[in-house]
Amino acid sequence: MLRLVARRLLKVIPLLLLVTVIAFGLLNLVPGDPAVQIAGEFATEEQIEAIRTELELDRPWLSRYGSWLSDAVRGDLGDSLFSGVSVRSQIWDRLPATVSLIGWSLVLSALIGIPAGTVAGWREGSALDRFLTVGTTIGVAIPVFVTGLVLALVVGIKLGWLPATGYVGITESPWQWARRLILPAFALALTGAAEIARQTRAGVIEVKKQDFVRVARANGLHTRQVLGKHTLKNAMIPVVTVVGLQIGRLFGLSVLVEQIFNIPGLGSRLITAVFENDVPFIQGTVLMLGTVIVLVNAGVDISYGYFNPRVRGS
Amino acid sequence: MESMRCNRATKRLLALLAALVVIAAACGGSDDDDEAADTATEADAGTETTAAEDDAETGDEDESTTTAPEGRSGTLRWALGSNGANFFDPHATTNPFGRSWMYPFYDRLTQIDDNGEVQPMLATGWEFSEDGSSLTFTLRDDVVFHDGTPFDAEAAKANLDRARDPEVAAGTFVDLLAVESVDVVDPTTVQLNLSAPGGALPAILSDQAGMMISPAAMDNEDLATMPVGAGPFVATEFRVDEAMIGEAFDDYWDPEFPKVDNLELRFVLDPTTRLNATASGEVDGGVLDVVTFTRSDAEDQGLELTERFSTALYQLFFNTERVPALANPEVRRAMAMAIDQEAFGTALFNGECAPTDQVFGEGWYPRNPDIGADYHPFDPEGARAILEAEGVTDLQFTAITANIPSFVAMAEAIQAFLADVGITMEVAPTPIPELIAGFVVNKTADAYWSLNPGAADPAKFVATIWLPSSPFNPGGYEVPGLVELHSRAQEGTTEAERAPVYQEMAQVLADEQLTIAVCTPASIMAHRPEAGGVTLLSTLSDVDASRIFIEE
Repeated sequence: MLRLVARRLLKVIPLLLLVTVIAFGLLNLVPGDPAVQIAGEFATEEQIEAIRTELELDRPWLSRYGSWLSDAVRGDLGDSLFSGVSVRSQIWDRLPATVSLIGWSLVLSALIGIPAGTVAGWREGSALDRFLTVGTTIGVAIPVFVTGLVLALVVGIKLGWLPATGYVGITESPWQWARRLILPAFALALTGAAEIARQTRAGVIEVKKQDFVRVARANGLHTRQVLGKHTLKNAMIPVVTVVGLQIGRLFGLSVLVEQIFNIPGLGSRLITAVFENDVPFIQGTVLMLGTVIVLVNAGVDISYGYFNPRVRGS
Repeated sequence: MESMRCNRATKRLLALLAALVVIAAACGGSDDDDEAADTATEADAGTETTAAEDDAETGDEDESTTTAPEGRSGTLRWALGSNGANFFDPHATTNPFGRSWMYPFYDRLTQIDDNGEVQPMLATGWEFSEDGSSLTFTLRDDVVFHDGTPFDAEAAKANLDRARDPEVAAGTFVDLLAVESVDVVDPTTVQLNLSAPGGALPAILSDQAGMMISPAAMDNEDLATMPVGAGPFVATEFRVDEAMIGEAFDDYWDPEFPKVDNLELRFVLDPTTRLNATASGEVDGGVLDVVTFTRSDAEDQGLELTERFSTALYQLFFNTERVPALANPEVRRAMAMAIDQEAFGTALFNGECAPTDQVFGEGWYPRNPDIGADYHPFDPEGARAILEAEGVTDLQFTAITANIPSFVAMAEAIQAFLADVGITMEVAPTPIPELIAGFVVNKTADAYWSLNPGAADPAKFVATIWLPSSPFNPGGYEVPGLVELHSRAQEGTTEAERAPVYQEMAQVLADEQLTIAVCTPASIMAHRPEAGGVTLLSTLSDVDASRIFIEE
């Protein structure tokens, strides 16, 4: 198992390097000169050039990449172009809201998806299975912004059951933190729950036909043991993969959900950063999210070793 | 048996989840959100809502019966839709959408009242010399900045010198080109020596150029995020692209203001989220996006509306150098006649963009009352005839516009109108940072469909768009007589003196159509009934939050 962990972590290093090249390089390919934007419409060419020099935009690409990477590995992601506020502190300030949202969504996805998929798979072909399969198809098909807007309007404003917008930090009020995250997390969780349910169902159907499950049942083991200990554990490998992939997907979708529910997370800031052409913030965030996703995927790979010992040696 | 157990477990789990949601919903009964919901429900049932629908022409505003509390109380939370939130140096910022963020923190030398007239603020009065070569401001003697530095003539001079320095003040130096030097006469008198007529200066100094920064804070590294002015609120916390928090300034010179203890200006980009946040009580009010919502969308949720005339203009700008046919005023007149402004405003703005054929909006003093929206009547036949007479048979050009769906839709509507008279206008949705670079700086775009938010004074508006040296006239097209009129308009020192010249200018610009003015959008705030004193500026969707109070 240790060898698996070491091998997988070694693979992470070149991947992370690639992430830095993409994060830095892509934005250099995008048209737009931040110096022109800062200088304003009345600026002379000399003023624009002076700003370019100040921002070091006149240096060659590779040289700027080297400086940026060297600063980034020390945790310095630079400052936002307009406010001058450090990118690291902005990410740090906004990360709790995004992590809370994604954490809640993952929990909800798993709480809804795994039991639903298990029941559907165990009762394959039954009316309940068909009902859940249709439900998950709808869940996958509905765009998150539709779910979000409908929830905010109906549950939040018309019914007034839960707050329609806004975010409160967990340190400020744990109760309000939880209440305000229910609707956005549910909107975000719905698609994930559907995908998890489908994967769980497929896994359970496959595993329950295996000999060892038949033997377990023939030995008179209780359904709970057959399902929980023998079937689900083996059916979980594709599910864990889906959950791992969900994290990257949730970070992406959180951009929309944060906007709809006015949550001051990374996603909503990313939108304005793109509008403002705030290159340092976009680079810093892409690097941070890319790193998280690479590490999560490594974690998913490593978890295969836990679920399936055969993987450890391969 | 097994399936029964399984079903039971599933049911238990679902019941637990449902219970959690219900408990979460039920236990929050005392907070703002539920009060908001109650309010919304009452409104749905037909209780009173007030909309200031008839005030567009009179200037203001709040028809609400809301009464201001004695003294100060409460926290005002206001949602702004523009991201001018990231730069609080009023002289350096080039963002034309940042005023609402700065007004609560920076007082100006003058201010413009609800009727559009210039009134004293930090200056108690002003006077032009007889030959118009200087402008003298008398200043209040009871003002201190948030850091305790007293406001006096030295401070005013330091600010005016800074605001006209192109190296520092990218946003305001062009406003003060007429100022040659600034002298301190005595501690409460400052004199601006002028190299050109300066009739626009009292109004210009009600805007960012007249915002006074504490001289002791001018070199602060964090000035862009922590303003230090002499306004009614002291900045206490800034969160990038999220909020600016302030508290009432105890030593503010005007005992009437502010009316609330705390201020939270929040940046809420999405119009739907902004309205939802107001309806649910998360904020007390915010900008109503008339492209997305009708008035009744807000009123149906129990909100009140406050509006005022706007100096903003949706228009099509040209680079006459790149497309020679566009340098022909007859061709531009034909284009104006090809556009059905009424249909445009109805289809894309829910009827909230007033058709216009002149550049000065309804309610603004420079407006020429003789130029109606039908000055260039919608007449595709007539437009085709003009184009034929001018020998223009294959006019093609590309217009850039912001890659925002509403802007693209507007540009495509203009495209369709022009296509009907045989003009091909390609629409190029362009990232926002690229717009100014493409049209103004690099001059690589033929045309530009955009919104100008307006200005505190018509001189700035004209200087930005229609003069041969204006950034939004990249072809340097010279409208006959305009430079002379622009100069003459600033010889007048009062609005009454300047208005006739601007009306003449409006006529010249309406005839020339250097830009195709299409419509003036409504500037509306949607707010909760308990918010009173809502005061809008004449620039689009700008609010002076320092005047708003919350009824107890």
